[in-house]
Amino acid sequence: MKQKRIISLFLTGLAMLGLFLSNVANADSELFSPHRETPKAIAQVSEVQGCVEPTEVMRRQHMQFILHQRDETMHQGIRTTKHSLLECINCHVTYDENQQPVSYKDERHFCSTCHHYAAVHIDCFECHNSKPMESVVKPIPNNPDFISPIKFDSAKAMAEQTGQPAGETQP
Amino acid sequence: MNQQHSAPDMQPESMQLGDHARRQFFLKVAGASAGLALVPGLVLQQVSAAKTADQPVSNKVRWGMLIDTSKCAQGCDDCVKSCNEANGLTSHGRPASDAQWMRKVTVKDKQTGKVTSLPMMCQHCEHPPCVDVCPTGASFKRDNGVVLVDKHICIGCRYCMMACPYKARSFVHETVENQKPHAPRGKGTVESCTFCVHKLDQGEQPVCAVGCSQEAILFGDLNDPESALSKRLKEVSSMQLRADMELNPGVRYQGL
Repeated sequence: MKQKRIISLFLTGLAMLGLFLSNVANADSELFSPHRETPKAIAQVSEVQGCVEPTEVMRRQHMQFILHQRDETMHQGIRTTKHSLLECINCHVTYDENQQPVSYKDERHFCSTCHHYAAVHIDCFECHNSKPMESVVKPIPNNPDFISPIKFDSAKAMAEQTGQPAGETQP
Repeated sequence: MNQQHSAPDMQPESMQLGDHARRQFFLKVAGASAGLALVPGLVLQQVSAAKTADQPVSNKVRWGMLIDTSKCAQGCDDCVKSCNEANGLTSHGRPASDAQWMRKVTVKDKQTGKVTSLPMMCQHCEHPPCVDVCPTGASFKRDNGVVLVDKHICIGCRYCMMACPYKARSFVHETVENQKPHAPRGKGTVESCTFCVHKLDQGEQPVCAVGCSQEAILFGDLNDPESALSKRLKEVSSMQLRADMELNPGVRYQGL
């Protein structure tokens, strides 16, 4: 009887420890991940229509795709749209408060969010325009594929990063 | 200098089809229906005309231009304006260092006093000196005769600018923003007329040829004997600038 009690107490303790640890782990991931809402592809993309490659492939290999396409377009005049930088830019659009697309200099820009975080400096936008073509960004009425611009509160994001509640400043 | 001069110029071009081109041509012919292949002329024309987005350019085509200087109006710079507009060439208010892909030149015959106005840009040579001197391979000629700068590998040394006898290239001195999506431009690279290559790839004409209000610019395929350009070149006397250098430019001038 006593043994059973001890075992059950031990098990409960273990379970509680487990819960505690998992909480700590969660808190850790929140603390140390960028935890910023990753900009979603907006124009021309709906819930059913994804990127040209699976997300995991794109995360690791997008630079290879773009590089390959770059040489084919430059030298051979092959202008397929699947792996062209222009199409990336036309699709992954982030808007600012005034519903204008942001450039790569803005941290909210699709490419910049990750490259800022990973401290990767890219040269693409020294020459290429980082904003989508005008014909693409115009919100098309009654188009279900066009999702309203992402709300981005910079003060709130800053607060989340530093662990300070929004609106308060350090004395 | 004249028609007789132009004929031998063109001859070697059409004969110089490499193995690659021949192979491609036969592949395409084989790909097309057998009935079409029985009519060689027809097939040739189709191969040179149609290019879909996924097809590479072929040296069956050589893009060229004929500029009629007798039509080119003095003081008119429609071509330059349309070029700047279409390719996003904005001035920084410093004409000495602003990039220019196309410029108007006025020449005067000292003996007769005849003044001629003409547009000047990359002449898209068959043997481009800019390509010869480029240390990185950034300056190159496409199979279809268009001479371009691959800005991805251009280091901005400007050897090509020195080598070009037509002063056709510009160096980008200042940071560029809001470029046209089809014409990426950036500080520290060399650039020049591209024959509006993005338009060519889609089967359209360069903007200067379309934008010329005097219809002085005729654009077309030098290799296709049936093109309007080839037919006109056969009729009128035209010349290449600095033909003595034997660069065989794709741009020819009439009435100079």
